Amino acid sequence: MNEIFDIKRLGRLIKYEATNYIPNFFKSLLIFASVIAAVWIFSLTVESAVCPHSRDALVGTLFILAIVLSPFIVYKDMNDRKKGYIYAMIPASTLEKLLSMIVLCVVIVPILAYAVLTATDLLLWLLSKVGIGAFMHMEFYNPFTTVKLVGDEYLQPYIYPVFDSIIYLVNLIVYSIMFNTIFRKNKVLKTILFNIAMSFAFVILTAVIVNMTTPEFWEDTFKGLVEWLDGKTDVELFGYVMTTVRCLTILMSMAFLSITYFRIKKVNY
Amino acid sequence: MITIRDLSFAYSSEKVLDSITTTFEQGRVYGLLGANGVGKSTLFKLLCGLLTAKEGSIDIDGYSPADRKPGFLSKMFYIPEDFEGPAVSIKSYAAGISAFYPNYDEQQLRSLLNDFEIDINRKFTTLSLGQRKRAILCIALSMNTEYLLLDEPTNGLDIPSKLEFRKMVARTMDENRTIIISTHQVKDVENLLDHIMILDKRAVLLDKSVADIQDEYLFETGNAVPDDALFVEAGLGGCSSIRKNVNGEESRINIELLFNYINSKK
Repeated sequence: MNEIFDIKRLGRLIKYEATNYIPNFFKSLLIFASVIAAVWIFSLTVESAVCPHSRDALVGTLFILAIVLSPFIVYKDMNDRKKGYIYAMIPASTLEKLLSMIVLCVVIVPILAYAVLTATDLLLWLLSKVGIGAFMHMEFYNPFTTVKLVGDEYLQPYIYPVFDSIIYLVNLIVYSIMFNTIFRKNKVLKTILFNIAMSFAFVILTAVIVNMTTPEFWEDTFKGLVEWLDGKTDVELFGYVMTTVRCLTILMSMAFLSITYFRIKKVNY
Repeated sequence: MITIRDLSFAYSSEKVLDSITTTFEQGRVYGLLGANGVGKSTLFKLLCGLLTAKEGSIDIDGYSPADRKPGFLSKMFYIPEDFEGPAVSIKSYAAGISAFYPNYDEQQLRSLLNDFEIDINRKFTTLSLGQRKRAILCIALSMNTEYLLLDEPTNGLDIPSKLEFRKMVARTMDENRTIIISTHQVKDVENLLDHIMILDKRAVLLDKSVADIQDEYLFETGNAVPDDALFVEAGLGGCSSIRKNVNGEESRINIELLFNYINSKK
């Protein structure tokens, strides 16, 4: 028996987790869908139509909220001292458990969330028949989206907008997955508080560093970089910035997943 | 076979298990007895890999439980005292989890559930504590794992269910399986046990087979207290006593009495 990875065992694990854990998330998804319905009803009481852009923003926001919260819902009990033993004792390796978590939270749950939320919007539009346009615009996911730099020309194509959206979303989900495995109780609240604390710490640290240094120090330190960037066009600069952000995002995701792996492996019950 | 060597464990500063060495052989039903807080559940969690030993080692067929390797986990099934169960039906849970246990027998599950009068389509969340325990016991037994750890399995069971539980364990027991039962309700499992282990906070007070205990001690109940009694307990039906079995007589073991005797000696 391969104790680290077996594709059949992974398949069985995904099937088991999808059957046992997704129903929990589906209930939460119905709450999100009811929010859309409530907004529609409220909008139709004050106006004769629901603006597609508002619908787009609402569905987009709820979608992101749903997928960011999904690890906390789907794998709620995985490290609970009493209930978590069921998860820990599933005969699968740590790697398989991590991969299954990724498949569920990064692939299955977003597809399910997108389908339920857009279907809700479509259903409401069909029922009310007062929507403008046939269907809401999902600008966020439109692969032909262009980005305009202030005062500059359109960048066409804005480098891989779909790819960028996906890696940022995956990063957010993986971040939630990590905190779901770190905290045992009040996971969402603790994650929010941790982020607030980290933001404060970052601001304070930055302030301290800025106060301790002079502008000349920064000019000297990054002199080479500034000179190198000097000859570049806005389009090139934008490209470099985006590539750097992309690389950092992917690295962060890998780091979050590594922490999650060791947390799954070592967590005691 | 489970081999434990110099196993120690502590929660923060409180030491629960201290340098325990013992073995659990295949084909036997072990009774793990001890007062509250002596570390019975902790020992179970260590055997399952849910906790990591601070000192010492556990070897289960070449596996270290703390590694939680799939090969090890597929040999082991553990039912904690307060089993809650997932928010799905018994059928769905069993179908999902059975994919990881090669010796799972669905017919056996249906038969066991039938004996306990539990509908396989019921959700765990709609069952009472006793029903949930019965359901998970049926699932555990039908997985036919080599090691089965039951923490207070008869807690929450009514009298007919306790009888059914004993029958089930006896029926599903075979030479390749090791069952370890931790319980305070010794009467519920008295006839099932092949081996008794009594744990104290920091030591194993007794670790002997039922046959060896019967060879060593004589358990009697009567109005008169034997002169050579090692331990006596007065009850409504007379006095229960333990004395050395010097003549090789046969007697039915009284685990509760034995437990109280062993504890009185420490």
